Amino acid sequence: MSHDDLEDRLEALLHDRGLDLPPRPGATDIVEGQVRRARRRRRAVQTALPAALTVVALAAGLALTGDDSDETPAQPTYDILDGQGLGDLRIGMDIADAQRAGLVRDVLEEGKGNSGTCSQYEGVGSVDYVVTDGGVVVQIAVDALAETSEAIHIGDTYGDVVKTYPQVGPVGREAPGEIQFNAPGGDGNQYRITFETLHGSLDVRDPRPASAVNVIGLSLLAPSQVGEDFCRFVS
Amino acid sequence: MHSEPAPRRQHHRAQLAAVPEPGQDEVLGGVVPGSGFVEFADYVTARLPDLLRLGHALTGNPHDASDLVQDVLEKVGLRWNSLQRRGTNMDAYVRRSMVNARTSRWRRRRRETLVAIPPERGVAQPDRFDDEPLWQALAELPAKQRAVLVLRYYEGLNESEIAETLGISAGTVKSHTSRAMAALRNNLKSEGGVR
Repeated sequence: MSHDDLEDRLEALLHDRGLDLPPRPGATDIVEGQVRRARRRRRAVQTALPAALTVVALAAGLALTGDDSDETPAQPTYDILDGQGLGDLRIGMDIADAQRAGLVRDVLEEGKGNSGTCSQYEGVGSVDYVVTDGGVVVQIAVDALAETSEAIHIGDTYGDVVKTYPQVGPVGREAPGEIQFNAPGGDGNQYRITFETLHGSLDVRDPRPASAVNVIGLSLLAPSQVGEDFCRFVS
Repeated sequence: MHSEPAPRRQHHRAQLAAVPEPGQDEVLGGVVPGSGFVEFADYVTARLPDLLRLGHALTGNPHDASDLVQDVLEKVGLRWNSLQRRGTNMDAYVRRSMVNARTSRWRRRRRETLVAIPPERGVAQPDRFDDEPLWQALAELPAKQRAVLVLRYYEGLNESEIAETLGISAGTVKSHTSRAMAALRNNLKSEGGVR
C-alpha cells in the first residue's frame, strides 16, 4: 500500500461517523457534579487560611471577599503517605477491612499477581487508587494532595526528589521515568515515584534538566511488588 | 468503511468552540452576552460530542474515551474561570490536556459513563470497528504515535502544531509519524489487511 493510500484510509477511518459517541442525556450534569465534588474536596484539604496570613492580608487592606476566583491563595495541607500507608489505610491490610472502614471504593479492574488475582480499587480522598494482591493491600497510589513524610508530592521535580532522597541520586544527565526506593520507616515498603516523560514512555530517558522534570505519580508499594513480581493490569 | 463519513474539517487548526474576543457581544450557546465568557456547562454541552469522538480516536474504545474526557473536563472545570480570564483557547487547551493525559501514564478511572449506551460493567465493550484492520493496527501503536496520527489525520494539525500540542520538537513529530506509518503498513500486511 502506498503512503498516500494509507493516509487516505486513515483520514477516512478517523472521520467515519461510526466513531461518534453520542453523549447520554444529563452528561453535562455528570461533569458539573464531578467538578463541584473536586472543588469541595480541594477546599476541604486547604482548610482555613493560616491565621497569620489572614492577619497580614487584612493589615494590607485586602478584602477577603468570596469572589469567583478559582486561584488558590494558600498552600494546601497534604495528607501524609508514610512508610506504612496513609492514615488508616496501610500496606498489608485486608481489603475487606479497608472497604468496611470506607477507605476504598469499587473495584476498577482485575489483573494478575503473585497470588493469582490482583485488583485495583478506586481510592477515597487523596488516595487515587489501591492495588491488592490476594486480597491484601500491596500498593497505595496518591494524588497531588498527599505527600511523603519527607514532603515530596506530585508536582515536585526530579531535582527536589534527589535533594530529599540522596540515595536515589546523583542526578544523572537524564531523568529516569520512574524510581523506586525504600521508604523511611517502611520495613521494606518502597516509594515509587513516576516522572513526566518526554516521550510518554518509561523506556526513553529524558534529557531535560532535573529542575524541569515533574513528579506525576507517587505510590507506596509492599516488598512483594518490587522487581518483576508485581500486579499487572491490561489496560 | 462502516458508515457515512463525518464532514471533513475545513481548517488546519480546528476551532471547536467560539470564544469571542473580549467585548464581543456575539450570542452563542455558551456565551454570557457582553462578557465574552463561556459558561463551563454550556461549553461541555456544546463540545462533548467532539471531545468524545476525539477520545474514541485516541483511546480506541468508548469506555476509555468517556473516562478520559471526564478526567480532563474535571481538571479543566476546576480552572475554568482563570483560564477564561487569561483568554485561553479552550479547545486547544482541552485537546492538549486530553492528548497529554492519554500519552502520560494515564490510568482508567471507572466512572459513570457519559456515552449514550453504557457498556456492561466489567465486560469489555465491543467497538464497532473491531473488525476493521486499520483500527486494529492503530490499537497496536504506542500512545504517542497514535496521538500524532490522530492529531494529523483527524484534527488536521500540521507538524509544528502537533509539536506544540505534545510539547516535543517538530523532528520528533516527524519520526513518530514515520514510525507509526511503517508500523501500520507492517501490521496491515501481517494481518492480510492490505487492500
